[in-house]
Amino acid sequence: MKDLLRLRTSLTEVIEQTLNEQIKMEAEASAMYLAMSSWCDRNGFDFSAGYFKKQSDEEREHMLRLFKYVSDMGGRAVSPAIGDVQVEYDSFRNVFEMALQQEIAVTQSFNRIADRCQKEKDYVTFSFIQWFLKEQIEEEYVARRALELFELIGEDGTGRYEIDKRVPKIKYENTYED
Amino acid sequence: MKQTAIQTAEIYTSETGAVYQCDRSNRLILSFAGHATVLKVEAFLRLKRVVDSIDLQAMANSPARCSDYEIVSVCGCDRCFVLTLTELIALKELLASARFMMELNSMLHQCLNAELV
Repeated sequence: MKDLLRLRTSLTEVIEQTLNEQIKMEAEASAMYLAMSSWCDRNGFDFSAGYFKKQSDEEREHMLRLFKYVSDMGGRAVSPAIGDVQVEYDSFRNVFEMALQQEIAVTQSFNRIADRCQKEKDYVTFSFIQWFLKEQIEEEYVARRALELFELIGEDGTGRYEIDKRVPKIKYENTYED
Repeated sequence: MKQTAIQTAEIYTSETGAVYQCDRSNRLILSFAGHATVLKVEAFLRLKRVVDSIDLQAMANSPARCSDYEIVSVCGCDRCFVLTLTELIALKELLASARFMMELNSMLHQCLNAELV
């Protein structure tokens, strides 16, 4: 009797579903960052608008990277439907708080995928997601640093203007590698 | 006229139905409530997911008449199932058991392939 479950792909149903859920999460993150970019633009935070637009592009690229992997492995990659995206935010600071929250959620999600890969003994996918795990260090760092600028500079007077100017300059330096 | 017998292997049979596998067409045949439905593996897994996601307890507890039945229709399956609570329980058990046997078959294939290397 043929093994119909693995006729086309070595991905298990669980891993394929998990990766498709992550594809959706990345697409939602991309849409969320774009909404944040729009909010910043509407409220005069030019530099942050550009920063969030760039973040949105990055999230979409992550989504496509996952999408290609599922397809390349013979699985069924699903183009996700995105629900309503929040378009209004309480304050400039609130935008960055939500961005950090989002990045932490993504890190946790990739940790869960890694865990599931090990349980399923899918080391090919485990090896593939190493890139994302590493990428999350930078993503979280940048989001955290941006939020810390609010403490360092303060929002009084021209504070928000200064914060806005400094946001795109945040760089993660991986000093101990390469 | 030349007739070709369809070779099917039984995956699982319960009191209410059965799931067979056709190695020639790589399809699954679900025999349930007097009908046979031919499904691709993806459609079979999708059907299982939809049936699993139905809250049977909520159906049983609800006094609303619309809760007596559930309509199940999935992409890739030309049949629309209209099922009572009892039928849903039976179908859920049948699909889960068949899925388990398919996974077992998969594991056997893995073991046999590992032996050959």
